[in-house]
Amino acid sequence: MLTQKIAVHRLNSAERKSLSLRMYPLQAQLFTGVEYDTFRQYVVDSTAWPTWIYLQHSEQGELVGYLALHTFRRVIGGKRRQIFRMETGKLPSYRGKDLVVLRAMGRMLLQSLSAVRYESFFFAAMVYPASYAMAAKYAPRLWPSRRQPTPPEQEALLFELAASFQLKPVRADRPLVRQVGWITREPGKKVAWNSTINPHAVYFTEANPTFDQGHGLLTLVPASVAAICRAVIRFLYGRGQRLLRTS
Amino acid sequence: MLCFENPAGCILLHPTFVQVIWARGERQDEHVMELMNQLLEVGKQHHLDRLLVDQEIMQSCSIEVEVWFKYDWLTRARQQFDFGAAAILSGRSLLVRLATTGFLRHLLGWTGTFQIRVFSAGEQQQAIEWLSQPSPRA
Repeated sequence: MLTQKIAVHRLNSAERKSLSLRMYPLQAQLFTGVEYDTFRQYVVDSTAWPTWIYLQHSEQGELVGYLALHTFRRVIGGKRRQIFRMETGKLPSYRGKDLVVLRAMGRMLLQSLSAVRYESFFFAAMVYPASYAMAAKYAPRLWPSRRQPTPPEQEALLFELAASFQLKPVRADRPLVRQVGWITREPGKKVAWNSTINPHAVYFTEANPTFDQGHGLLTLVPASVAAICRAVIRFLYGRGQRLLRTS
Repeated sequence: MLCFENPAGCILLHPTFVQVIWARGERQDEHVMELMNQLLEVGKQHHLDRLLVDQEIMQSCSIEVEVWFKYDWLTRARQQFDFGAAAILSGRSLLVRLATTGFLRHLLGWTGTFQIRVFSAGEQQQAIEWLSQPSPRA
């Protein structure tokens, strides 16, 4: 698989439109519930500074996946915060075969190093169990988590970030579940998540049982330099173990 | 022509550019943000992609406005005015002007199509002449 890195914050309107048109057919294959204009505004015309997009191509040159990484800097709760947000998707037959997430983590590391006055976090409204499970597996700390209850300070920050990014609640009794609209297309039979093999994914489906209606689970991960380095080590160790098992 | 006014200042529409004039005294964050957002709206409505901005805002604003201006407003402005130009009236010190240019170039990119030039506070006429050129080059 070949990966192309694009600095979206350096593109002009015509170039951003061309990129959106190139990416949208893949987006429509991966997700439902996202119209072209919404996709463009959310992913390519994001007001983040900066936005990097990694396009993944097959050996035949077909676009098979993408990862968009946005960095927002805002004052939230009276403090300077640097917030990383990400959208990613890949055709099923190409999943788990590349290290593009590692490149995104490297980019986050550089951004955290260049923003010493900001407290950095990765923030998402996760819409698919596997995405949450991956973050829970490799991040040293993450909220909410099956391992421990969310401390009040982190919970308050989750709500402030949701308000800042205009993620509206779905139900009063599930305040961490928000309306996103992205619904992951699952090829074939619906996946039955196993609590022994993937307890994080099962926790996600319990916390956000309506994810298949485009609802996302607010998720917060500290993204300091030390936290990113630890996540990179855990990721490389995990991938190394997988390689040993399959060889 | 005056096209918007609030307690933070006003927006003047010129034939080829839009200008912000800040009011004297204390300014509230929401008024500053409203004025700057309105500046983008005025530019869009009148198909004007040239701005004259007095950097005085950056010397007296809160952290909230500073971060919002650098990382939200400026991104939206660049997206809207990607073939435009902005003249910034900065302090009289060369070092201040160099720092302002460096920071804006860092955010907007050295190779972008948006042209930006920093002038000394007393050089408003030169800034207007530069903005009025058919294709201002930084």
